[in-house]
Amino acid sequence: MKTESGQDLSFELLLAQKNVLALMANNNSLNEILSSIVGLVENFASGCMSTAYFVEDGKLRLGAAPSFPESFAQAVEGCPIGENQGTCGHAAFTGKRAISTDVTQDIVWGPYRDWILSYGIKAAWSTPVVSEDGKVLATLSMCWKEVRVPTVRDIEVVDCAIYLMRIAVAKKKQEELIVEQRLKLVASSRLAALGEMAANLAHEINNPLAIIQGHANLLQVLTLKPELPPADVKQTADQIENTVTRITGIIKGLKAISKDGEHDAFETVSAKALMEETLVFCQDRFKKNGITLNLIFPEQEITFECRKIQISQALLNLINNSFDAIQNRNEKWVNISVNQDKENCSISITDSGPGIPLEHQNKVMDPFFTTKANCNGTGLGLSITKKILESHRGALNLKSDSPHTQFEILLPLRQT
Amino acid sequence: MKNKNDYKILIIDDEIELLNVTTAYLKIMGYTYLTAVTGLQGLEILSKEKIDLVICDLVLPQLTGEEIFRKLDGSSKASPAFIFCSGLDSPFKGCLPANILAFVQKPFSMKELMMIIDKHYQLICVV
Repeated sequence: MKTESGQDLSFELLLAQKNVLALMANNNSLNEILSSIVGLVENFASGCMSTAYFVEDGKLRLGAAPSFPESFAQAVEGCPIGENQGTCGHAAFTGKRAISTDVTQDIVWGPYRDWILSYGIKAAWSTPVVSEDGKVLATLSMCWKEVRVPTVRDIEVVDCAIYLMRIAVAKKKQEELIVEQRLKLVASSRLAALGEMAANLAHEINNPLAIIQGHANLLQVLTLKPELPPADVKQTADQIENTVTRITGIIKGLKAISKDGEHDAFETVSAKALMEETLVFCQDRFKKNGITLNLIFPEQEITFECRKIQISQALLNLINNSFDAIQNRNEKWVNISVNQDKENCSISITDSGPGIPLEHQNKVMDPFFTTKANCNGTGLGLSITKKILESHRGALNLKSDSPHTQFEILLPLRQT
Repeated sequence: MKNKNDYKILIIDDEIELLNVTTAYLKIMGYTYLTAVTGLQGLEILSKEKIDLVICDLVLPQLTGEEIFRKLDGSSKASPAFIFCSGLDSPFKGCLPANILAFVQKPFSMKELMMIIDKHYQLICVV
């Protein structure tokens, strides 16, 4: 079939289709994309006024109706779908094309006949956009101010538009699903981390509480003596104070780790202090499982600028991975060594594991990649860690030349 | 009858400050004690010394409290009695195994601990 300019219609349609696909690839909004699809229909079927509606919870929702007045679009918005509820409502309900060649005659218009005639529409055809699982996602209509039977060309144009709409709406649905699932995953992985921490926390806090209680009991006994040695009292009070500081530190750390930290300002932190605050949450678990945790720092103090909570989370992810990997091995140790050069601070985390198999090395930092059985891993730990480090202009490297499993964190000393 | 000099307590806890305060209290109460900060160290003392009572943290580096207990259990008639303590919940469900006097949850009161120790001391030394 030839167009008025003599070009092959399929070819011109293909070009128009390409433009709409480009909008999708550019992540333009769904409404922008639908407007361009409706525009395409109106361009190729001259004299036609086209509309696009979504179907949500059995109701029509406006997508695009550029050639109709505002009142038309508003009247259709929220209308229930159903048999003989206009061509749109009917097509959405039945999942089949509804063609009304003469509005004055067709029963499909039911209660809406006078209303549609008031816009001068004499013929209207609606085609549903059906998902792979058979659900009607949207409808596309061609309305005419004359009684009209669809031509082959009309059908070709509308099918091309439907094809584009299906991609656009499905893409949007998938994007929504991904966001929803990502939120769920983040929530559940955080919940798992918190649950793990809560058990550790009981131990971490009950120990210093036992010290405070012991000192209080000691003071009570000391007061029974005829002369209370001031030095003993002072020492006891000092110890209580130190221990309270220790608990305060744990609670501060807990507050820190349970929030996001993504929008915190960069601050200068001591590598050693950060490491100690982070390890509060796992050292007990290591001890209980007989895993030796070695911290290796150079003599000079290392400080760097970072979002403290995020780096703490990144470290915890790596340390917990090491824990999972080696807890059932005979040789159980994790070495954390911190170094710096002129520009960067490097933190190496090496565990007694045999290293990551060659075939997994390229994938370990991909989201959702996990070798942990069933529910033990979300497969997000390393990808989140990598992202955090990249947001610090740093890097996470897997050292494949090490005989053991070794990850290296690189962080610039200054962020500005 | 043994006196308190002959009744020996071993305390195993890697929380040094808790060791200090517990021993200070035991000292005032007139008990004789030894201390260890790791499971292995504790086991070594147990192999050399005649210990009557072990007060032992369950979460310890190298060797857990329960592992120490299992290594000693039934090995000789002179197996010491144990008091376990931990900041975590008790791992013992139902009745405590023979030779374990009590599980005390941290934080515990020294008086509570002393009552258990006194009772044991009376039982094996005074009768």
